[in-house]
Amino acid sequence: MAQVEDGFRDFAVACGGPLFRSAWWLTGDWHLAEDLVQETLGKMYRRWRGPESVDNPMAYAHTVLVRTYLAHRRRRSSAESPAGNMPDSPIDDGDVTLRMTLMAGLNQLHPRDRAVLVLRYWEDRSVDDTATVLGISAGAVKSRSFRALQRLRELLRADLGDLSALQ
Amino acid sequence: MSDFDERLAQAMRKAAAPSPPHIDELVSGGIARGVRMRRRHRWRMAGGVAALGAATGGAALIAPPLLGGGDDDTTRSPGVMSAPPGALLTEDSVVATVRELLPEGEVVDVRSGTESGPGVEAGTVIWFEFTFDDGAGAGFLQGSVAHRDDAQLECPPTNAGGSDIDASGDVDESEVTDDPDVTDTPAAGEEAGGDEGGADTASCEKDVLDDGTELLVTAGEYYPKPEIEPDRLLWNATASLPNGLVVVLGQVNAPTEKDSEVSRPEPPLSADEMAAVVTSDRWVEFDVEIPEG
Repeated sequence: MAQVEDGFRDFAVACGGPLFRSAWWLTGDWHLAEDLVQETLGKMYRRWRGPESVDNPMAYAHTVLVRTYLAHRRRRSSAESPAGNMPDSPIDDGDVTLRMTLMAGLNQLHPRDRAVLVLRYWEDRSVDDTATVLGISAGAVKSRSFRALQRLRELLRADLGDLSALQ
Repeated sequence: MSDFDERLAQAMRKAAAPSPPHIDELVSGGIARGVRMRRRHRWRMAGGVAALGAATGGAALIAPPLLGGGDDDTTRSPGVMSAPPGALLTEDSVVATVRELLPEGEVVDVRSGTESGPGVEAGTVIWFEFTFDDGAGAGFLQGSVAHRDDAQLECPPTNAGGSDIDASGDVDESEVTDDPDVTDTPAAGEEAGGDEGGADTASCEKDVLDDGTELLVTAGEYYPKPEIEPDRLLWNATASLPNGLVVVLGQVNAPTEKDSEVSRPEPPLSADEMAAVVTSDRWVEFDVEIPEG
């Protein structure tokens, strides 16, 4: 039992950071991201039989994360995300203004659209991978991605300026 | 749009998402949740029989554990000696007795453990799981033995499947909606529907034997949602014995609970064979006090 837990802890420590960053893009909120990661790790722990029990534990964990996020959003019956929440822990890297701009736009997208963009453009997943994670067709990923990009571009242009100006 | 997606990816990189400052706390919190999830799952299987009877659907009546916490044991021979009369109920004696009561076949990947659970006398549930192959395809068997004087076995109000609700009333929808092994597939471009669903093939039969033993046998699909792996079956037999022991045996027609292909049309044991295991006189021979795990 202790060996099982030790093995899982090593895995969780290794994947906790990447999971948290994806969770943060999905939720836009530090505490919700922590909660989402802990829920994900809990579900992984419950199934854990060792790293060899899953082909790619890291990818599996990301899939659990995204599906948990979407299930949570669906149960809440709300597409509204906490707006503009910034972490209460310091972030000393990256472009803060750009981060706030992007988050403000992402917060206004439908959760599934947001998940598509995070998977495609943050996690750099292919259309097929994204489709697998979300359990939808590749065509649905493409159409959602197109629609979400269009919406995000309008939001950023209308309210916060063209994204290209921030590069 | 072609440039915008590239610019978005670059902007996300440049913006950089934060890193969690206390990764150890994050991980410890996740493990703590996982431990609670395991406990709830096993408790549904072993101790929450009465509440489950009224609360949940047939196929999900008693969900087997996804992950055991006990030690692996793949070395025991099929012919393990069962415990002598009056012996204590322990992980070893429970597993040995179940194996003694099974039809001829190969038993591998034995796991077992003890868990505490509310409402269980002596506070302990002994659970087990293993793969059993009678030569016609491997099946996953799991079960538990607990001591409860207040067990009430009830068939669910309908035989349709439903949400997986544990004895404490918590809805564990994760098995249905968040599991990467399960494709929760909405129509292309559409949102997923609700989590409700139901396997209308589930059945439940309750019987009271001459010695007062209550017996509940259920059969249905593993997943409450009929569109998900309808060929994956979960059959359960639960007996509430006169000595206060509640014995549960569940089976899936695949070598593992999940993450495996269905290996046979039905689980290895028939309903009668399952009933024979959980109502066996062998259980009455035990000292019903289950040592604390």
